[in-house]
Amino acid sequence: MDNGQKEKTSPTERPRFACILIPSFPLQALLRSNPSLSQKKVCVLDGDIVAFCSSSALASGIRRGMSIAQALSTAKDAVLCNCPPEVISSAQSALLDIAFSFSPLVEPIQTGTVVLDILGTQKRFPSVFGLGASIEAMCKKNLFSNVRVGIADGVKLSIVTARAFEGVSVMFKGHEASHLSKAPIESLAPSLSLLAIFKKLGIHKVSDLLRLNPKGIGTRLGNEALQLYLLANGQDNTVFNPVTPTMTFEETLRLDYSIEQAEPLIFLLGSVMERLFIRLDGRGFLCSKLVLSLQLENKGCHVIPLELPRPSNDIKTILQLFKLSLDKNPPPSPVIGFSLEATPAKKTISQAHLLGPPEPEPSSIDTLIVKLASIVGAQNVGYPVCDERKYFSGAFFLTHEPSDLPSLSSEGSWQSDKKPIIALRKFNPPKEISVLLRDGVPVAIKEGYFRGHINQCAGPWFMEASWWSNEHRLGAFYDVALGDGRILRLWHDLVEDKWFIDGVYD
Amino acid sequence: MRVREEIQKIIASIPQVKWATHPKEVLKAVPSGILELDKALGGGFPKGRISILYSDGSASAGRFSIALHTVIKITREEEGNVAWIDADGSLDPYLLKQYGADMRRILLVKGRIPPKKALKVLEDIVGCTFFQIVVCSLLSWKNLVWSPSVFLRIIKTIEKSRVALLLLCKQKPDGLSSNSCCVALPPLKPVFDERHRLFLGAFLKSPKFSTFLPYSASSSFYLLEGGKDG
Repeated sequence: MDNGQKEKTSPTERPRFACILIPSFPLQALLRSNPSLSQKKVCVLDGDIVAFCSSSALASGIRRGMSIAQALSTAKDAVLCNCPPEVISSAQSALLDIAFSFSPLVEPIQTGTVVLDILGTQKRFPSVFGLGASIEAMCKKNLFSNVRVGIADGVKLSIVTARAFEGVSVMFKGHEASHLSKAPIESLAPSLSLLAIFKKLGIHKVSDLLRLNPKGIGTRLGNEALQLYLLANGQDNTVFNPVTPTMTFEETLRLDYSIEQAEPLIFLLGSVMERLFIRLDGRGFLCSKLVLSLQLENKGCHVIPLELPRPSNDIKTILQLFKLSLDKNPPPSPVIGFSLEATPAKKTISQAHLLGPPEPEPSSIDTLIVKLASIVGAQNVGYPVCDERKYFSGAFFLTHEPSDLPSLSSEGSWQSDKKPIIALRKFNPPKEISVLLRDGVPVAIKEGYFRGHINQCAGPWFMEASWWSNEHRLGAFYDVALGDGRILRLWHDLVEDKWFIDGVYD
Repeated sequence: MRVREEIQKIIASIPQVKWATHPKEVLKAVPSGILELDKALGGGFPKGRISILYSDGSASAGRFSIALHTVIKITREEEGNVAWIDADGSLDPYLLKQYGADMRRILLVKGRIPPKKALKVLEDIVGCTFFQIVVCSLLSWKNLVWSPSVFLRIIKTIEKSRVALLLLCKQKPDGLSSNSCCVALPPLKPVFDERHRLFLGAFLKSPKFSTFLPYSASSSFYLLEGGKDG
């Protein structure tokens, strides 16, 4: 055996393409969309004919090609339904996402079949069998129960091997003929007329085809048969046409019944969201925005958008936020289905210190902000940013992301040896009071919790702010010490001649 | 039988080993930035424990000033992260900024938060190891209405996450465990300049420590502007 032959027959050369094939795709898409059907005898119809049936339906005697009446007479409790196109489209998107989670180069061949270029995955998956097993596990995680993975050195070859064998099958270069010898002839996907000729000639397996003379095949059976012969011999010149990764993440659920209350809707939403987040996670994304479109019984549509304060994939918290939104904005009529669309966002990455203590995952703080927003509202949680122009009204606002700009205070007044200060605890809103004045200076607070004689009074310090706007404020501050030790800051509004407690020194 | 006896003899001849008692855990502390207080507390507010600052009779006791100082110290000098639960809407971030706190390290939860919600917020925050200290200002509440079991739950969470929890309360809450750090603060003693009619500051005095707090930046800010006229 010369070197060239040795190389040709060596199984060490890594194949380049992997095909993920989901058999009975419409049936699996339906079961994925509605997992509660998985234990039932489910048949997916194509018009009035059974096109696909689940294993339990097969066990009860239902076969493909039966009419509805035949299927129901065979098993009375069979569930016969059509698979909505949006369910198939969601499942196909999920399949593409699975492929994109392994490789950036993916070509969708048809619904339920995708091919991916696995060149460069050897560091992550040293063994192709390991890669195949990971793809299979990922598909099962995405609720595709029956998966076939074919790995070969050509696009068509990978599809053929996926069609021919269950589970993960790997076809090494130079071993194609021996690998496919036991495969049924249908795995080469001949046209119906050619398949009929093959059957007539007693060609049931690929090995039967390979035994024929290639010259004779071309002249007697035509070009298509010759191409299949060459393909079975490992000659695959199919061009690989990868597509750009899609950024649409949508899942749909159609119901046979209507929902009138929020609780069952939230329950179903949770399972759909879980599927959606598995897809996002596979692509390395979190979710920044969700749009829930409810299909109503009156043929209307009720849309609930939900913008998350920070990207998150915390289902429990997001469901809580949806519950709050549904309570505020309930659908006007019962719900018969819904679709959930997610906007992906990159995960937050932070640079850890080389010598410092280990820091928690940055996503944990994002999740915390989303959780807190679900309890107190998004406007009440965040990093404070002071608004210099509005000292009186809304002196600060909260952002959900810490500003990259250095805080002005970094040049600020803090020094470690600086004496501590006495701080003002503001009253929000300022508390209106009535005071007793002597020569224009407050000497006592007349009523309320802060009633008492003023021992010492500093001020007034006049202040005018926002004179250019409707929030014009003109008045004076006083610092007063009451007899019982309380030290207050008073605000005298000169426009309305009212007195307020602005805060207490505490 | 002989073999067994021999083994028993050998075992008996081995001097009895006593396991050393587990060294008493030394808790790390979060310094407040007020030297006198840190000395009195043995370094600062302990991590993994609840510290409570409550007033011993007056609304002006210095609780807020201490908390503010701790936040400034942690964010500015220790480069740590702080969460402030402002359940009474009394925090003025302007003051924090003016005194040099790193605002990017402060997560603020604001608004008038009822006790049940505040508890949920607190439990979520103290469970996150992201923060060195969590300040919870509950001064608008007459008394803490959390049961001892709630405190126990919080303590268990912060023992795991090693967060220092600082509660600002009106009074000492019931149902606290004995290993919580409680600081009772008597009323501030204001220092007034009669000649210029100005407050210079106040003494923060307790049986264990004493310090002088000059006036805050926010008052000096308008003091400078209007002081001449006043």
